[in-house]
This record gives sequence, structure tokens and C-alpha cells, in this order.
Amino acid sequence: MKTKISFIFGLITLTFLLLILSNDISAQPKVFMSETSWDLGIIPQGSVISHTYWIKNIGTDTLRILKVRPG
Amino acid sequence: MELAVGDSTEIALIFNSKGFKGKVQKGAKITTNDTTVTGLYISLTGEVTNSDSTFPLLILPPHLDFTPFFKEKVMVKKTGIKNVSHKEIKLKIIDSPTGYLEVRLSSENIKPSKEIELVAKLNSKLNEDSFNKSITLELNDKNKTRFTIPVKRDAKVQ
Repeated sequence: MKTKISFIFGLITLTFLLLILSNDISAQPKVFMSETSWDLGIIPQGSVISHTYWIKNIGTDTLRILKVRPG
Repeated sequence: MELAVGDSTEIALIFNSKGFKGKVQKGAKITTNDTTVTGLYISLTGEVTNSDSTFPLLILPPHLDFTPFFKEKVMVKKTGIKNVSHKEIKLKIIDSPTGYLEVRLSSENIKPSKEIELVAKLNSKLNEDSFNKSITLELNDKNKTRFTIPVKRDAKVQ
């Protein structure tokens, strides 16, 4: 009886630990941008134009923006 | 830069049309630690022209400059938008800098050879001394033609 209780308790603990571990492993950042291109249309010469894009983390871990390189 | 789960941030793509003419495309590649996305690319496209060749609209002035004049803040700027075609045009503002300006058109319809006004009012709580932003208009023609009006402010007093 005691052995059976210990076994069940051990099984529950193991299951609980596995659940915690699997959450940590599966945590992933996920980048989302609703818009990645923009048509300015007709632009006057000799001017500085800017357009803003929004970048969002829809994942389950911290998203790091490592580099933004023109090209 | 780091974004916590659920957070967002803005990335501005800035393009100087000086020295360019005709169709242009500028972009930037963004690299993140999201391993499911290998190439995130943002781009701007447009057609650079001089103010004489912007049919069916003539926008004068083609830029809005909020640079202070003799230490006096410039809070409102206007530009005229004239329909130089033979057809009535409907247009709307599809992009304007949130938090910087309040932008409105005096009318969304322009009859042939008539003119309307675009009025931009600066946000009085804005802390930035210098900025480069833009306003984009879109017409209801078959090509959904767009026009972008650059808006700027320099910290240096004129």
C-alpha cells in the first residue's frame, strides 16, 4: 500500500516536472508585422520621407531585434 | 532592442529623394531571434517627380515645414491641392504621423480646375525639436494613385 502511494506520488511529481520543462523548451519569440511594404506614390524631389512600421512580439518569449540593415 | 511578450515597437524607414528621379524602392532587412523567420524585409516604393509633373493633382507647396521662425513656434501649416484634370477627383488621407499632427482636408472632392486645402496642426505636446514625417493621400481613380507630402521640423530657428 505504502509502495503504491509512493509510486503514484512519484508519477504525479514527474508529470508535473515534465509539464514545467516542456513549457520552458517550447517558449519562443514570434515576430509579427501587419505591414512590411508601403507605396508612397508620387513623391516630390529633394525631400525626406519617412514611414513607420510596427513590429510586435506575439510569441511566448522575449523577442530581440538583433540588426536592422538598409539594403 | 528587446520586446517582451505582447509588446510592440516602431521602426521608421527614412528616404531622401534628393538626386533621385522616377521609380524608387528602398528597404531594410530586420534580423531577430525568431528562428522561424529568416528574412524580414521592409520596403518603401514611390515615384520621385518635380512639382510640375504630378498629374492629376498639383500640390503647392509640396512640403510642409514646421521649423520655428524667429523663435515663434509654427503650429499650423497648409498646402493647396488643385485638380488639374478634367474629371472630379475624390481623395482621402491614408497615412499621417500619429502623435505629431492632426491632418484634415477642406473637402474630399475636388472638381476639375478647383482647389482644396490640406491643413496640418502640430501636436502642442510634442517634445521633439526635429522630425521628418509624411502624409499620404490616395485618389479614387482606377490606379488608386497616391501622393506623399513630406513634413519636417528642424531644431534650428530660421
